[in-house]
Amino acid sequence: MKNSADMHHSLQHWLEQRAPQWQTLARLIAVMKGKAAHKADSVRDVVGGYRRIARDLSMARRVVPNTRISRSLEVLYQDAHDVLHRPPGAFLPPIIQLYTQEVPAAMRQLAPYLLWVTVLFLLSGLAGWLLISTYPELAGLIASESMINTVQRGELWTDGLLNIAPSSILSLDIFANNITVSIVAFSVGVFYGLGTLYIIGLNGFMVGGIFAFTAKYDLAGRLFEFVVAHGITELSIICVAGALGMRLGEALVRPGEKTRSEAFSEAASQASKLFAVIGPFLFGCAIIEGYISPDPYYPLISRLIMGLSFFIIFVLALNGRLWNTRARRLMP
Amino acid sequence: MNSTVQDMTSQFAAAESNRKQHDWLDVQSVTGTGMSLPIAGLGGRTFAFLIDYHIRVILALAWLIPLSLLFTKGFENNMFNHKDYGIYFILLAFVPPQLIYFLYHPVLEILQKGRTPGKRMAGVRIVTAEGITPTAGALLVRNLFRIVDSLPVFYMLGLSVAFFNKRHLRIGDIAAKTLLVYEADKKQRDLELSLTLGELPAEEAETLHELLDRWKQLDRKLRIQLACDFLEKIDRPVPEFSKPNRAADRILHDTLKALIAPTAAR
Repeated sequence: MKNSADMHHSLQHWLEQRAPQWQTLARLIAVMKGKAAHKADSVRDVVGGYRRIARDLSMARRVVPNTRISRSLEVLYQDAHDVLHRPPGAFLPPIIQLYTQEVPAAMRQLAPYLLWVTVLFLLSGLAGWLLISTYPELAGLIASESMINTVQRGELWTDGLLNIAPSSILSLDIFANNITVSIVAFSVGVFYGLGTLYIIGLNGFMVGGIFAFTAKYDLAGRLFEFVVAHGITELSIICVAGALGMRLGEALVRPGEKTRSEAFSEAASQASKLFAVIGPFLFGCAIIEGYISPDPYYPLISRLIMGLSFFIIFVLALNGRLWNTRARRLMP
Repeated sequence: MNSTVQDMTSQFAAAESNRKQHDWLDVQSVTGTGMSLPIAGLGGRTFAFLIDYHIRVILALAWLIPLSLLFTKGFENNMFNHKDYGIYFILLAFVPPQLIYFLYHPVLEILQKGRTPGKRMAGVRIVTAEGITPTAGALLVRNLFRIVDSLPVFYMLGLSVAFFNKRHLRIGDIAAKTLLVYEADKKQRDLELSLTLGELPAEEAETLHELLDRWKQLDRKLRIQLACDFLEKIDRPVPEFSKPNRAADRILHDTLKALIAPTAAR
């Protein structure tokens, strides 16, 4: 009885001594949670408080386990841990590092996959061309009936697009479609890469097939004129997204020395970095496809220059050479 | 020990035992004192998603309905050129709801450090395997895989993966190395509440806190009975009353609260 009473008094005394410091730490953490930048003194106080709370929590777990005191200290400890270890609030340096270092490094690792996906795309395109050239009646596999009828009348379905919808709507619609296709091409790689193979193969087949079909009606040149300004970069982006999907699939099939989960996380993380470049360029392609491609004002030579220039800028962005050397030197 | 208090104590013990059956994220710290965060199961995850889904629908409707009324009025009053009317309506009517739909989760999760309004209401948040707020990149990866998780419909693939997964991770969580954990509620955060042993030893103070927490949820006769049993157990005088009425209820409640009042307040 006496021991129990002594223990109670000791515990009470301990609470009365430590409670003000816990409450001060809780207030400090609440302030730090709401801000991105902090004074050095505040951070030092939280670091010191974090260590002391760890000690108090250990004691509370032994002496008063599963009580409100120990549960409140657990929460305070978790909050301090989170506040001290959370990612920095600074916005620009991680962005610079992403574009100047992480994206080029990711592209270097992705190069073999990109090569094979591009080969697949080209071979599928060739297969589509050969099939539709030989059997033009199979054009229904890749084109809608209205598109086929339009081509058979000697017109392209892209003619007069601006009369149907304004460029802004066109661009938005195209951007939404392209970003969806890119994300799907990447994310279905989770099915051991088979989903990506299907998407890339299908897209290549459709491109080859539609050119073959329009060539039969001497419209392939006009179709090329329509797509060249935006299509080179757009199709490249689809291939990059496909390469990311293949890498994702390989992470699951052949994770190497890592576990499948680790390999999968690494591949997904790499993909998210590349999407930071892909996204803006897809938007650029959508703008070109909405404003430039359907406008008959622009001659072929302008479209070629625009298409090639945009593609070169895209390649430079992917290998990091687009950014000036000062930006690249800012990061270690 | 009185049987009613015994039942109550065993109920609390059962609740504790249930708590131990949750999956836990065990995190080691540089201080050497580890911590455990309870991992949210399918229920918490689904509940949070449903709330967020309804919020998005409400936000989209809150945008669409006034806009439609405005455009109807504008059409009647010839405020716009008819040729441009449809263009503006399509742009303004469909783009913001689409942005809300696609950007709600990634933007809010980044700004609110792993939370959304639905997650707050469900009492869950996203953390890394180290128990801390994920980076913006990790949250974007997590949301990028929503397309896969939502296949074929209603997140069936994601929920299936989470069901068979010890940590209840969907594919996006596996990719981003994140988890969904339960967050402490306000009561657990409130240090003021817990720092009252009063006159009682810790174990009895805890039992008394639990009883006072559930006071309003209990039937009056039952809580009066429990209060009397508790006072008898700790050898304290039990207030006399003729019948278990509101006055008796109030007196007993005040008596119990006084036992765990802070020393300075007494």
